[in-house]
Amino acid sequence: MDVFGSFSLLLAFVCAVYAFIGGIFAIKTRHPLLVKSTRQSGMAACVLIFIATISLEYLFFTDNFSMAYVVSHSNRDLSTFYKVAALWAGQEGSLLFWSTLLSVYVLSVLIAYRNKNGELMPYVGVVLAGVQIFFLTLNNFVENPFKTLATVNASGALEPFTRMDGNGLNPLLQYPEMVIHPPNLYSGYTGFTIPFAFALAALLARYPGEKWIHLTRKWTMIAWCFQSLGILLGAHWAYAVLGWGGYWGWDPVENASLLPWLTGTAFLHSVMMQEKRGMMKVWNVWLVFCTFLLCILGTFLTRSGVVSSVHAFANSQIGPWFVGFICVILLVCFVAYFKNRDYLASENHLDSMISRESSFLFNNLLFLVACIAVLSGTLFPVFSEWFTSERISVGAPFFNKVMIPIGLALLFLTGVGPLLAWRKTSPDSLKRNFGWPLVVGGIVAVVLFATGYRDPYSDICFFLCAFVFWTIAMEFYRGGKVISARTGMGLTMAMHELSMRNTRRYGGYVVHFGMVLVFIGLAGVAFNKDVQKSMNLGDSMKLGQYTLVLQSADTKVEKNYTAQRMIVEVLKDNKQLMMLYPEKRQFQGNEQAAGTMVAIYSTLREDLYVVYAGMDPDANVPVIHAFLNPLVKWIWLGGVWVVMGTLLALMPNRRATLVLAGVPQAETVAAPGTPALTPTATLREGHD
Amino acid sequence: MINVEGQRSEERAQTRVSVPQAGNRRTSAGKGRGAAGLSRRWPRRKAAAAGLLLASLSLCAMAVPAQSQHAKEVGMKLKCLCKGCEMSAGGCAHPGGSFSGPCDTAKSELREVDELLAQGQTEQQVIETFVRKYGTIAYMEPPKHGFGLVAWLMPILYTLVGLGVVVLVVRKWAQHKPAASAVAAGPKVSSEALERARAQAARETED
Repeated sequence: MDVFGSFSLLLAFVCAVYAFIGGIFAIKTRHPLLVKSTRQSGMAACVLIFIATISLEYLFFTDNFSMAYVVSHSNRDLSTFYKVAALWAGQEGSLLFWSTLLSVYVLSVLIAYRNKNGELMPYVGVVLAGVQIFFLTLNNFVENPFKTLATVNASGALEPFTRMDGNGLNPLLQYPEMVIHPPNLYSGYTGFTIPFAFALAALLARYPGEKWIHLTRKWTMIAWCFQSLGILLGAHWAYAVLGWGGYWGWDPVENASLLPWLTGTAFLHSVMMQEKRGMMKVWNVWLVFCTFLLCILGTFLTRSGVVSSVHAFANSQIGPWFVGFICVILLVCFVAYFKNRDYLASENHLDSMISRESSFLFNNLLFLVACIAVLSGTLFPVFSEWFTSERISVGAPFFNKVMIPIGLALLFLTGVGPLLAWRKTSPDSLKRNFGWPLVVGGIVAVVLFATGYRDPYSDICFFLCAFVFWTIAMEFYRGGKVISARTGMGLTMAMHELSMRNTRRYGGYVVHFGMVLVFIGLAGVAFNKDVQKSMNLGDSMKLGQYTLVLQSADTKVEKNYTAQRMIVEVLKDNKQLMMLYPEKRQFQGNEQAAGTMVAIYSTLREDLYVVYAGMDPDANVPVIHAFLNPLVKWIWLGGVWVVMGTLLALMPNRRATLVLAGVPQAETVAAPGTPALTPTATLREGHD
Repeated sequence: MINVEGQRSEERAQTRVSVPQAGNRRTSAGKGRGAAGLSRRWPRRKAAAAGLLLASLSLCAMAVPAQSQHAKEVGMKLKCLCKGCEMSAGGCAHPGGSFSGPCDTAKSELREVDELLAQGQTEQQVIETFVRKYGTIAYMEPPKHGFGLVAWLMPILYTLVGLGVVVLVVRKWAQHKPAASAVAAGPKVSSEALERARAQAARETED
């Protein structure tokens, strides 16, 4: 099976090279047969990569311990569930996984648009094949996952060698979320390849019309959704596994995942300027290019260990390859841009500083500043070592100081931007749109301040959250009322109808609402508390309203690990509430590292987060570390809304006519009092 | 995104108040540990303190192994020097060792912080001592002088340059306005009605 997988990878490489070189000839000669054969070669490369990945999984499932990669990341007792995840536990597998997910995208694009956009697709195919060639080069020749173990025999020759059992999977990865977090994040990273391919192809082909920008936007949204979900799942994993009570530590790898998200978000906003007003075309193309570059950079930072971090499990020689690839992409982008920059001529004009257009500019400015600040902060230690031979740390305190003001400014724009009119907004409409939201935000802030929640940043954040929430609610209410008046349906139904008629706009609002929830959760950090104590059986400690009593402890022997479990009784206001079971797990084959299972009692108000921190070496009694983290649950809830909003925005708009066709029933009931319905019947609201 | 280190003093006070016994024991054990760990300072300790220390150690269950809350807060600004992670000493969750939470390196750093605090050093002095001893890497923030200053000035610089660019761009775009002339050429409509119509159109058609 290893030979089979290895061979499919090699064949995939050949197919991708053919798709690339043949594709270039196909563009030059426009020979239909050549176009078709290169497209099919591109598809074949994807299928072959799938086969290679399945072979590697097969080797994991069959406990083939003659394979170096299987030995390093699995053992016999590892559960099936985690054997799937073992695929991306190390360098080689991660890169193969990258190729695999990229192939899923490439294959869907090649199949979905096989008979469409005839002029554009050959270019897209070539760009995608180019990216695939890079990763297949790494998979085949630099970090091949199909290496077998060998030993030197008596006569000095190498002979194959099989181990009895593997080293096991890193305990940190033996957590359910680690099975879904990397695929999501990688789907985000790889997904940004598609908008990149469309943008570059359109530029190279000087593809007429705005079709490509719609395609780019759609695929960016898909990738963005995965990226958001991946980042949040990663944060949740850190929260539930690392046991330090937080979810975001500005670790270089976390930062790397944030970078393309920031530019991607900027693009999703500024793309509207291009669609509605024909503005900022150059800017948009470069945002797409940068997003892709940052994805490659992120993968590079994660995998190469340039910036040492918890996540960079492996150090290896892939660094120069990535740097080279980044240079090649930059070169191609610059050449394409300077050759065809007249293609991106924009019709830039503006009526007023207070308009939707300028709010988008500020939005983009903030996202870009955030992105560059995170990027330069992450790379600063490397640079400082370079220039001054002394390494300067840039850690969480720095990022918090820089990023909180930017985040709050973005939150402010989230509320303001969507309500500003295109071209020009009158003072009157400002008052009408923002009067109440400001009042509501003010009340929230004052109430919080008065009740003792006094942290400047948090209070500003809560103020803005209430403000943004109210603007969004007002938008739904007003739009819903209009439809409800026209069609006679209830307000809730009308709001649903409203969202379906203009999915992009109202999907966007739902995403904004999700972000408001995330910000509420983030603002809770200022009010965290924690207590750590060595506890004998029967001892108790108090934290906020909760009293924790260590009732007993036991040892659980599972197939792959042995767990020491603390049984902690939780009392709230002296009434028994529940039992929590924080654990410490010792995994087989890995004597050094222990895994932590945090016990969390989560409510909307706060999380009671209990960690069994180990044994007190002096007293030989367990140490319990308890945290009270307010509002953390809102972050995860916000994530759900963000995903739902993105899905809504991806749906095609429902036309007003479709609904009105179903309404006659209501019309007959309501008697002939609604003649106004007929002229609107052909009216199509919103657009896609 | 929100300040992780930021526990304000009132909050701290509240925590202490809510856990009176733990708080008291923590301080005594913390001092005790600092003294025990550093025997050369031992003679300076009062006998009473020694008595307290022994008492707290003999009542094993009462001893709190971790460093004092204050040390942890200072530790949030110091880097864990184990070279395996990019975390702070106070917030280290580096896996390995007997504890999750601070790894052994981070723990010894926190212990050192405790000792320095016990000597009467202020937070700033503790940080300075660490930087002198281990280099700039020991401080989680870039120093606000020398090359470290670059890190602090960069975000301000981007923001200012970016703002400048945006303002310039907006000015430039606002200069040629074909739309304005189109409106002027049309029939006279009161600006209020026009605004209402615009708002209506914007609500219903655009996103």
